[in-house]
Amino acid sequence: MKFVVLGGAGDMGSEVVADLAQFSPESKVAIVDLRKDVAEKKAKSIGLPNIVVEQCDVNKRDDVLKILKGAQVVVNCVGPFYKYEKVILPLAIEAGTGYVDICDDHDATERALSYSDMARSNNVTALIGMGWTPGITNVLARLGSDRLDKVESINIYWVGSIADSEGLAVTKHVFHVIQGTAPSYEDHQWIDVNALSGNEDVKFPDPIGVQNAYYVGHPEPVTIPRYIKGVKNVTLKGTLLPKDINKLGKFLVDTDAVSTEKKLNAVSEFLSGDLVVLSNLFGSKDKPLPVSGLRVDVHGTKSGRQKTYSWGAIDSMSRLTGIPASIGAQMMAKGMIKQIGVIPAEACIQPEHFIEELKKRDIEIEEM
Amino acid sequence: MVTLETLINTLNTFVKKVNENMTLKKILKGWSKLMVVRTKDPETVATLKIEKGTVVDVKLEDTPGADITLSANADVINDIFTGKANPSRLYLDGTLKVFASQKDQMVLDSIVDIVWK
Repeated sequence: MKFVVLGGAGDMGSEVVADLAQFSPESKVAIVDLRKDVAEKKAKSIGLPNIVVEQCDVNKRDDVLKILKGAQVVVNCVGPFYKYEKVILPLAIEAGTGYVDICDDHDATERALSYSDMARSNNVTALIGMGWTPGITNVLARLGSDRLDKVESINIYWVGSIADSEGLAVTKHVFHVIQGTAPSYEDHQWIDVNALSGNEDVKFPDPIGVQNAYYVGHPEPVTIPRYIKGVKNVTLKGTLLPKDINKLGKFLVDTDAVSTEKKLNAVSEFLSGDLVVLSNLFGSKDKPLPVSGLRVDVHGTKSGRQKTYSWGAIDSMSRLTGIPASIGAQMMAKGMIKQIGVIPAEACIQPEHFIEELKKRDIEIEEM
Repeated sequence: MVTLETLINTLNTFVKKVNENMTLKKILKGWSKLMVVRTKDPETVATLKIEKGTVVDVKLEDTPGADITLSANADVINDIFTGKANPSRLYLDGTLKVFASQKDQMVLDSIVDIVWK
């Protein structure tokens, strides 16, 4: 058995590699990355004998196909996904390789779902958005819905800290999802809401506590109403730590500083260049915790009474994202995911098994 | 001037505080690093082995290729580990030299902040 992790030398990808190598010791795990030196350093630091390094530029179609054809499951961690999902997913389908990704962009998710017929014709399972949010959030949405007789609303929230991420793709993703409109599902219909609006105080697990979250463009409202039948509302709100960094994001959006890809790339590269300075400028009073979190509230009725299930989790962004992707890839490799086509976590991941696997890695789902 | 004995006591106290801190235990479950602390006046070098946010070993020796290296005068290092100085400010003004990823630098900054809050 061979797992391939595209972008495996990155912040999220290396966590996927470490988990796969540890929990599937009989399998070979390939870190596939453009930066061979960084990949070799990561492999050495993880220090497990079943890891190999392969260099590849994901923009080179034939090179990617060759690597994918040699693997049973590929985990795609190459972001930003609004740019690379449409490049890599079709290649995995063409190669006939099982596919898992951590796609967190709503527009890329809509496009990915459109490849489902192609995946079904090639007998391929493509599990998309199998990270932290989407990923853990979708599985918790499924768990809550399964416990209710009728599900009414699913409200999902995330908080990400700038002291907890260093990848350029994360910064680009944030600017991508806080501008323009964001998809939301309200009163049985998909609607567009203004990103950065709908502010709401949300309690996350301690020590993060209460944070002010707002609408952002994310995949959960796109996929959940398709697979959790009868749900009336699915909303998604996010926020950043330290609190004041949200003001910088809003300022850059309001002044059109990130409104084109060129501008977004330039600003992201500039800001990612010195997160330590940024963290001190905006976190002088409120130093950002190096931790991220999520919360999922599922409302509905059970035995004729109103009932709400609320869960939360906190950990480093890389663990919250990389570990679910690894668990998904291992479930796929073991034949535990029967569906074919392009599918999100709520359509195919058995919640109790998944939560048990998270627990083995010391990620606790807390009742809120 | 800080003596070697004071420095070692400071480091040991800091390690104890880190290891007893429940917040750090909760948020640093995935943070395993080798950190070297190097001082001048007096010249000292120590390696801290951190596993899942807990300091599991401290040795008065160097470790080439460590994930994090801090170097400064002993009084500066002493001020950082006793919570009297903000490490990121000292890094920004060049008083403290830090060789580490941006993420590790920010994690260290948070550890000091949480321990002495």
